[in-house]
Amino acid sequence: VPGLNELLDAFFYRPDEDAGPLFELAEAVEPVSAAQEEQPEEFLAFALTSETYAVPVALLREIVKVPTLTEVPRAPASLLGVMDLRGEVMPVYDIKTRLRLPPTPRLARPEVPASAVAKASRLLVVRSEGGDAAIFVDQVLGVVRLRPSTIEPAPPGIGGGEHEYITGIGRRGEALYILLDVEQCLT
Amino acid sequence: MLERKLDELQKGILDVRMVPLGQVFDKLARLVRRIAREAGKEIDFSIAGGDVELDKLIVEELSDPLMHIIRNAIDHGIERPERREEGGKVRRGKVALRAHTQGAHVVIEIRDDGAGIDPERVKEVAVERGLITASQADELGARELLNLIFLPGFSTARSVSELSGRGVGLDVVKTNIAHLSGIIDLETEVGQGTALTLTLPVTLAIIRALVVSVSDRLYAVPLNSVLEILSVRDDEIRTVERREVVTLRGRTLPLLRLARLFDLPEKPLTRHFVVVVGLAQQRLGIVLDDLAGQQDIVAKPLGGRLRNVRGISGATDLGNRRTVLVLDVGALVEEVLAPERRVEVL
Repeated sequence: VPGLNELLDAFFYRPDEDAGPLFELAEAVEPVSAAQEEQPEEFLAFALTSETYAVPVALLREIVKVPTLTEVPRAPASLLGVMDLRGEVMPVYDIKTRLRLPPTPRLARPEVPASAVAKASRLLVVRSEGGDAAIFVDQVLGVVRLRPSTIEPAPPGIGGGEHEYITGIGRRGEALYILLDVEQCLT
Repeated sequence: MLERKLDELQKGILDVRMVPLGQVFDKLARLVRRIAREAGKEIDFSIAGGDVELDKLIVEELSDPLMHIIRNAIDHGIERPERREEGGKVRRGKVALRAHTQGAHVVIEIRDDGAGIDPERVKEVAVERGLITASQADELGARELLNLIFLPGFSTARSVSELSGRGVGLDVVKTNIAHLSGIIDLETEVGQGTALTLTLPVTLAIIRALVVSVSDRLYAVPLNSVLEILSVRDDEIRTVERREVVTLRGRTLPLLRLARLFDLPEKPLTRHFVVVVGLAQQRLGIVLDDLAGQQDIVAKPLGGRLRNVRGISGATDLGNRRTVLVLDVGALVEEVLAPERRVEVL
């Protein structure tokens, strides 16, 4: 019975879905001062083209390798396609155009070869009010801890416009993390 | 071993979902007597196939449309006893409700030996009610004219006393049946009577689907909405007002090139497969590149963010972890045959 086989299929562990361990970025570098007892928040840092972005770890469900996607006809351009996440139909979005970055190749199209995207690319499966979704990223960089008080608001003219896609900018030493509002990016 | 147990379990679950149509038929029989009395008609009501089983969910949704069709047959179909005698018929009108299984479908027929539906009368009423203009009406064939009775706001009752008086028409019946992936066929002859045939899937839980390919993409088409499959040469496709059609047994079948609708790169083929689908009384031929086979599928709704994607009702997994989208045949028919729907708003 194919129907049931499919249901059972969902329970099996698949090594190719395993996105590998995450390492923490600059975890030990921060000197802990007694004056600052503020709890740092955890963000997942990732690359979109050459820029580094981050989203709160609490919003993440999981990180998976990019599977074969199915193109959805007549869907908005930001929808790369849908994937089968252990029996769940999960929409996969490309948020780069929102951020004025060059778009990800339409890899759900049979005409686009799988080699069009880098091996390091991953899908971040995020929890969201409008329904959970997966976001295509070029590379996952790791977890970064940022103190809320050190997060700068987005400079005027950046991330502004109709939607506030960017909630702020986090810094650790030389590194710059652009913090995203997942909900806005998926709207 | 586990698989066999699961097979049995699945069958068990399906069995529990199945109920005989008799439940609804008995209720209708009681209603017929009341409706006939109220309408001043003499009716012989016969039932066959009450033991035919259907998905509980479908049976529950069938009661209203069946009642409406039968009420129509008695109110508008069967003539008054005196009138029948004048016409050389027996005083008592016949209304027959029959069901039988046909493969994965159940066919329910409601037949009366009443006055039949006159296409000319339908035309007059449709124009009178402002459903279509006189010039539009003149362009319609007999069959298209009959289809007008499924439009909202249509009723051919000549006097108020003859009206079912419930403010709903066959458009509601059409919507209900289409919702159950069913098909309505209407057959009528003036003076001889009318037969409405409903073809419904036996179950909604696991659907059998035809897997098709267009521009190297796979889609699943619920088999319960597929009427037949044709192989069509390019030169057999003609255009009427720039819309592509083929002739199928003397009737014009409008075509939909899925690759064009979905904006996919079209393959240069000289032969196409055409899957003929139906929604209620409408027919459409979906032009495809190839057929990949048949399969039982569990269709999952796209839900959440993808609810508004047109023409797709859900997704399924064909067992190889590749998601295949399930075409929403009803929505495609409605979308492509939209110019006919525009008639309603005029």
